Amino acid sequence: MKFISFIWLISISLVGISQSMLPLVQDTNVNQLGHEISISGVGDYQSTSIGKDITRAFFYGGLIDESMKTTSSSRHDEINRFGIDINSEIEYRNHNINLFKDSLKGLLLKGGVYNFSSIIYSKDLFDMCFFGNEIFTGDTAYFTGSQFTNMAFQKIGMGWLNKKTKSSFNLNFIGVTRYLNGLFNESYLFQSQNVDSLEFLLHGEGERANSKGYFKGFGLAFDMDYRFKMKKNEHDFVHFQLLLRNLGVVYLNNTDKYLANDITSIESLKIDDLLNSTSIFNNPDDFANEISDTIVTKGAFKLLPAMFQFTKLIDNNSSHKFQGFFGFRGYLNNAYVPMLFGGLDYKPSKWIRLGIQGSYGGFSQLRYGVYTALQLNHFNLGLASENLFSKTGESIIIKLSCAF
Amino acid sequence: MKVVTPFFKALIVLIFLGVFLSCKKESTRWETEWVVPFVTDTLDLYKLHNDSTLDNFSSSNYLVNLERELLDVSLNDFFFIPDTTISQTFSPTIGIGSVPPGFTFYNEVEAHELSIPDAQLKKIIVSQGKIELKVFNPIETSAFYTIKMPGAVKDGATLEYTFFIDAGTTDNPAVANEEVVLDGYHIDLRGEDISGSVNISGFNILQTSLSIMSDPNGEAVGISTSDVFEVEAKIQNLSISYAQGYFGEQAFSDTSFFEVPILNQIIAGNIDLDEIPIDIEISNGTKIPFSAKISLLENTNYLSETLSLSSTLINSSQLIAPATGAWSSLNPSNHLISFNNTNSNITNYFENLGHTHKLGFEVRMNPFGFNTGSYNEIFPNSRLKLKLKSQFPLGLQSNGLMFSDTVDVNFNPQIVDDLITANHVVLDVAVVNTFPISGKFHLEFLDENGVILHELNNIETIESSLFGTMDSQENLMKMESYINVLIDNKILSDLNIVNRMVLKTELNTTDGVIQSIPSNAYLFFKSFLKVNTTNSIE
Repeated sequence: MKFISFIWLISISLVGISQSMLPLVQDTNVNQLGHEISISGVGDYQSTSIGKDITRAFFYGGLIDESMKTTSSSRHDEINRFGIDINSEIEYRNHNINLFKDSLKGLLLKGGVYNFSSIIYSKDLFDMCFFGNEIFTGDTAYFTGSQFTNMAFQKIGMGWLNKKTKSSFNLNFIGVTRYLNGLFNESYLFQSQNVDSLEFLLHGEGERANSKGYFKGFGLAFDMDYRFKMKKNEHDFVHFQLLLRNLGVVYLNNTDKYLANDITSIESLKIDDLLNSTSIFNNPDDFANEISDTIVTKGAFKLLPAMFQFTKLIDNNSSHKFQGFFGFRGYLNNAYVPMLFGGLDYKPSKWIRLGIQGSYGGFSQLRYGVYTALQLNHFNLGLASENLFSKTGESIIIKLSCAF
Repeated sequence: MKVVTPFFKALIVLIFLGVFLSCKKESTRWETEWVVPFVTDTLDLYKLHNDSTLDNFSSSNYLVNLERELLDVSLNDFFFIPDTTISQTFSPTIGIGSVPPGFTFYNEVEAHELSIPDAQLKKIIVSQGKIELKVFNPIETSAFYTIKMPGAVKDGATLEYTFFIDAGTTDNPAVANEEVVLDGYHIDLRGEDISGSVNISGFNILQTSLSIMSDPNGEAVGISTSDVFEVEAKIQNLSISYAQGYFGEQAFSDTSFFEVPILNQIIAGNIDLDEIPIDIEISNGTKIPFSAKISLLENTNYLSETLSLSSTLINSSQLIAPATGAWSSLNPSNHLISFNNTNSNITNYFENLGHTHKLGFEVRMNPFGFNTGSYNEIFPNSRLKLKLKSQFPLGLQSNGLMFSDTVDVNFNPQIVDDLITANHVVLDVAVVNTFPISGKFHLEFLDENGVILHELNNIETIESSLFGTMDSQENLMKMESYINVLIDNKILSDLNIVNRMVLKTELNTTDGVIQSIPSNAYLFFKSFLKVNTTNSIE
């Protein structure tokens, strides 16, 4: 129980968790117990440059000191990426029901909570946020090309599964709880050497869901888990999975779209200006209004950050103790670079699996991970990390299955 | 289901535990340094270069070349001719009987005295003015009234005005209103003697002539002794550009105050100065003799100490001769009253650092009375002026001279909210000083009741230019100083109740030396705010 508690504690502290990550095992045996509940969760953040000590501080709190900031800053290139994928899913599979009068089609119910964020940004934007503008004295900080997006949504859906191949199709109803998006076109901050003038150019746009209710919009999406096999030799097959998750569209009832196309200059005051001014310093709200040229409120359709993954699966019934796996993954998000991955699975006994893996791409670059899976009669517990040794990201994946 | 039940119980407990632990998460914090331009400016004396105060050309050091006008009066300030109403009436002593059409039955000249107090004017030129005429006709035929003013001439022609008036009755005479413009008329106010010649000794006399002729196209009418023919002339708003005569013993006296506001901000210290001579120049552009005297010159300083200028010239009447020439060749007569260390305590007067100066003076016309031959003359360009003049090298020795300036402040509330959360703010100031004077600052933050909430005493000194290096291009000694004023969190947290700020500046020069101020000296400073914030995300 303590172990389960520990796992749940991590799960809850990560807000939500999901499936689809490693290890992925193909078991073509029909579940004889009839019912199966899976709870899975993913907490994964990756970055090309931002140290995980900084990201951890955002998750768990604490002080981001000068050393942490300096180390991360030195790791930055001109263009950098950062992303967070936190989600959890609960899935119920009923193998007793025969949908469409087909003995191989069982019922699949699914629910989930997702939070997906991504940022592409310049080094100057990082330095500005974490050091302030002093380091740009006599210099120009460029923000051009930086963009960010964040979407949080929940889903509930139903579908069917193939009891034998485990392929499934699920149609989901989506409720969006948060949407935020921003893009800096040509944007910079110039500061004179004497700090007697600042010039801030902002050509960009931002958009956020602005409905008053908990759900800002609704939509539909489908999940598809298509599994197929190819003959390896006379006795063995190689199993593959094509996974599509949250491929759909939502309609946000009200979005505020901010369009900025302005240049703002702040000059030193003259003594007379200071003595004759009615108020010292301008109102920052006025400044915000100045740079927001246009605000448009309207409804908008948005694509969900769908995930695509193709994987060579591990065969649970294989007699080999070692099996390899590989694949690639992508998100419907322009900050995410398609990720290639591969690894080795080791099954030392009937009830446990161990594995190592490597990947390249995503929101970061090269990553290494391990996993372990505990297989009991009614329970199946998997614990994995796709990113164990990186200085710029962390990952934890948990999956708990219960058959009854 | 037996397998599932304990699992869900544990789940509920863990959810509560997880939520609880999540709430205990400490905030995410990091520090940032933000810089914002503040004030960049140059303090100099350039504004005084072209307003008759400072001479920056004649020497490498500033020369004070002060010239201020204390009095400037013209002819219209000397004389005010009151509005005057003249009435000329004709009523036959015996009945004339029937008057045929076109018959002139009255033609007389009358003399009227203008009421001009204390003055005996013989000739004037009107720059502006008019006569409003009101004419009454009591006969039962229309008539032509002709008004003349003998002695009032413009472009060689005597003022004459004829106008037509409808028929009236004895009981209800017809009335006509007309206006005659007097602008530019030369008027001889001497009148005529018995022989009809100009009365040389006459003055303030205005002559009018009225003739009445029945309408040549009208009917014959009878005129009785009860008919009253009347002309009423109102001379209004008369201003003169030239006057000749005797203008009396008029006197102008006044007490003028002039302020030097910055000296009212001194709260301590003193200065030593070299001699500062003061000249008061009286310029007489009239052909009138005057006498003038300075009755008082005193100033009051920040300690409410009043020091009077002590001199034999105070309360001593000075004779100001009349101008010479006439019209365009008029040459004013100038007279100088000079105060210096020999005849007064003038340097002490200025070292008193008075912020309010009081000058009393009196100017008197014709101080010798009527003996001038009653021939005062004032031309359009005649002015009487009183000027204060002074020339001396600008220099001083400042001994802890301290100025205090209180500024009402009204910080933007949102900025205050932001600044209150700042760890500290540093006002970073870089100064280039070309004045041979050092400055030390002290800053106080006051609430609305004037209570000092915080003080900043340890602000670095702006060093005198004498400690710097020579800039051969600008021909000035320059000294750069850097000042960092730390405004800590205690002060920032009270910004929302800061209502006033007091800046105290202490100026010092080298002991024992009157320090000359170089021409074109300036104090350049640039400043920006460095705001250290701790950003926090709960």
